[in-house]
Amino acid sequence: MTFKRYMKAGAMLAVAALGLTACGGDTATTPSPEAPADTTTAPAPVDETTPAEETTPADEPAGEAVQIDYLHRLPDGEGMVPVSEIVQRWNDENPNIQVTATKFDGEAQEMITKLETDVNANNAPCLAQLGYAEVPDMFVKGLVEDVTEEARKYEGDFGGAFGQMAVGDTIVGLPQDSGPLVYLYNATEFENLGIEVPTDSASFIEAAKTAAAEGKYIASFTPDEATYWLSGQAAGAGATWYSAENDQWVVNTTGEETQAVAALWQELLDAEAVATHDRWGDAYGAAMVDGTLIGNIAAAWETGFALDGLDGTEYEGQWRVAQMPAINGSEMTGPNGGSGVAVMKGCEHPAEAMEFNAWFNTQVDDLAQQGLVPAATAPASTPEKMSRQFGGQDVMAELVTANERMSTDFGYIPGFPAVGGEMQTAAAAAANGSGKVADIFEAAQAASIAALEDAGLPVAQS
Amino acid sequence: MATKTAHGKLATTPDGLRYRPSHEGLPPRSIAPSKLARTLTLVLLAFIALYFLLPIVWVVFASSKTKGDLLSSFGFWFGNDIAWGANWDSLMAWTQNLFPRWVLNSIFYSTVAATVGTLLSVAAGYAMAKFQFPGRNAMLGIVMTGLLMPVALLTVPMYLLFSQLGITNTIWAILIPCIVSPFGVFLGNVYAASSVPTELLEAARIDGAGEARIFFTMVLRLLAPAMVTIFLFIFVATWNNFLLPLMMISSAELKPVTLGLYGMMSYFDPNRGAVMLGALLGVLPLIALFLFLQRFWQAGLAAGSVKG
Repeated sequence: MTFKRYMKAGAMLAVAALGLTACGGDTATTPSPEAPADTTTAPAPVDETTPAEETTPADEPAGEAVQIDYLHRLPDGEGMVPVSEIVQRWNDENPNIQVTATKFDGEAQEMITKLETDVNANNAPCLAQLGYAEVPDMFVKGLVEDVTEEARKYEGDFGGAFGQMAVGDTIVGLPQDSGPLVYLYNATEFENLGIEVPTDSASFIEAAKTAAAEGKYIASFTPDEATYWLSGQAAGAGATWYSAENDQWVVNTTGEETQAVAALWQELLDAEAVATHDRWGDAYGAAMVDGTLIGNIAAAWETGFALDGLDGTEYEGQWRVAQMPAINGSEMTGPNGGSGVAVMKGCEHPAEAMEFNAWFNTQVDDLAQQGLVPAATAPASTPEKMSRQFGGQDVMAELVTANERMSTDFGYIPGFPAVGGEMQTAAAAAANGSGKVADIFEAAQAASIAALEDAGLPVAQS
Repeated sequence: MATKTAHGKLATTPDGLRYRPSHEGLPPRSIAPSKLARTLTLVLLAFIALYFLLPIVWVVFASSKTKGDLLSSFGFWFGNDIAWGANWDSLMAWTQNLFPRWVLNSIFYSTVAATVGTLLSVAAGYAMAKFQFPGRNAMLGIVMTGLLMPVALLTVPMYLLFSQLGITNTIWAILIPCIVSPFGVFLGNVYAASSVPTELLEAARIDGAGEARIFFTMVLRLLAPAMVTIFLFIFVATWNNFLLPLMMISSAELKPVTLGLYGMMSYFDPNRGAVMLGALLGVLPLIALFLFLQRFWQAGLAAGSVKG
């Protein structure tokens, strides 16, 4: 009996061993036939450094090259300068600070999960891309390093977005791109309709009604984008949703400035003067292609791709970028998205990481190619594709202006993504008429206080 | 009686008896399904076939379209331009020319995981079905518990474990979890219990065959249909595996095709035509495999159904 049991175990082990060796043999051979197909030069050397770096980050002898891992989720798409190529330039010039850039293939939220796990496993990359709204959350969870001192050295290179990487007085990284809200519109259609680019709430409503009478919409109320689209407009109108007083969070998402935003959209929705397509649904793009949607308030980074569907149609080259209309008489705009590069907890060489961070995020032309609106103040040249789609307009210059107009008083709270969920639900109701736009901001107020209390943070009772 | 021959003519046997012959290709009239039942079945099956085929047809057409055409043209026909070439170029550019490699990676992961996993599963299942040893039922119970565990729940702990072993971002991080299949062990156990006669094993032992020889020369053959089922099951599970590589793999060279395509989709407004082309090319190996192995699979699913 016992003997048989050994035999069984032996048989199973033999099977396993067979399998494993078969595998091992395969792996050794797999990469080689593939290598010649790799015509882009960059990925191969990058890959070779990864395993070595990951297994021995700690026992890197001093004086030798410092290894920095950088996890990003930039598109690296068609016609863009790949991140690995930009990084290679740095590596060539800085033999002492070798950077390995790795692209994360997934949604922002999934990358947060991975970073959290990585930090807990003591395995995190030194640098990682974080959305501005995620920064407070990551900070409260203790997943990022305090690099205030290092960051201050580079402050002069960056615009208003510099503050987005700070939580209170603590700075955790440098900004990469920013998403000021701007107004995109089809100039030719506007001319045909005899309307001007709206500059304030009143002219926006008037233009919308004129266009709607002709079956055209100069904007779409986008419930699925409500979180940052509406909070950004509120910021543009001069609102500050979250502030700290006496070490307590003060939540005010229903103030007078925000109400001005609610009033604007409520009137437009009541008059059926705007479309209500979800931003990331097919209907939005289809409405642009069939020419019924001829404008919208959009984040600056949308200029990188929003018009792709119009290539080859009669509307190609007719669109332009303008500044967001002044809501509540405020000449500002607000942030919709954008992200920075933070130094993650456990980074062994924060100073060197920040040195690269500052260099990378001032490579504005390359970043513009990636479809970003760089947060650095150096002017970026408008990529060729963008110039063609916007009829030769210097889009980047217009976006830099928008960056300069961006409200600097608008930050987020830990748990803001959850607030966004509530806002989107309420926005969907407002879009189909079963709710009011003002409800969205009421929902944000309640959800914000709940999020802060859930995180165990003190909230000022007002 | 003879006047009501709507469905068939009367015939005469050589010795003069008149009878109503059954329809060609059908069972005898007494048990043949009625025309209504047959029509209904056909309609239902046609619907099911459409239900499963239409998405694939849609992907074929979608992969040929430009961004504008995808939004404005009818889904089940070509758009204004046939942009397969442009979409292929775009797919290759977006994936830094790694797309074919990702498909090969997927084939590699799936084949290795399915092959090793199948052997492990039937070996374990057979051992638990045909040998008496202490803790057998407990083992079976633990395997069944594993069956109920959602993979998503296990991925993060597994990541921490693998990270301590230093094998994250290697092929082992994908292969090892995929090779272990509680469902495969369970199936192997059920099949071995029902289609490996204990008498046969005893006869082999009397004839002097060792356990290893019995397993490899006899049992594996008896379990062949089950192995095809388990093989396909693990193969598909590994191919569709997404969360695990998302957490474990960061090198572009090691990514399976699911993860790579998702990387293209996770940006605002991706070039969908190119992603659709990638999805189509990524699913072709699976379709080929199923067409090739489906008759074995049918046999596998039915095995043991009579003996119970």
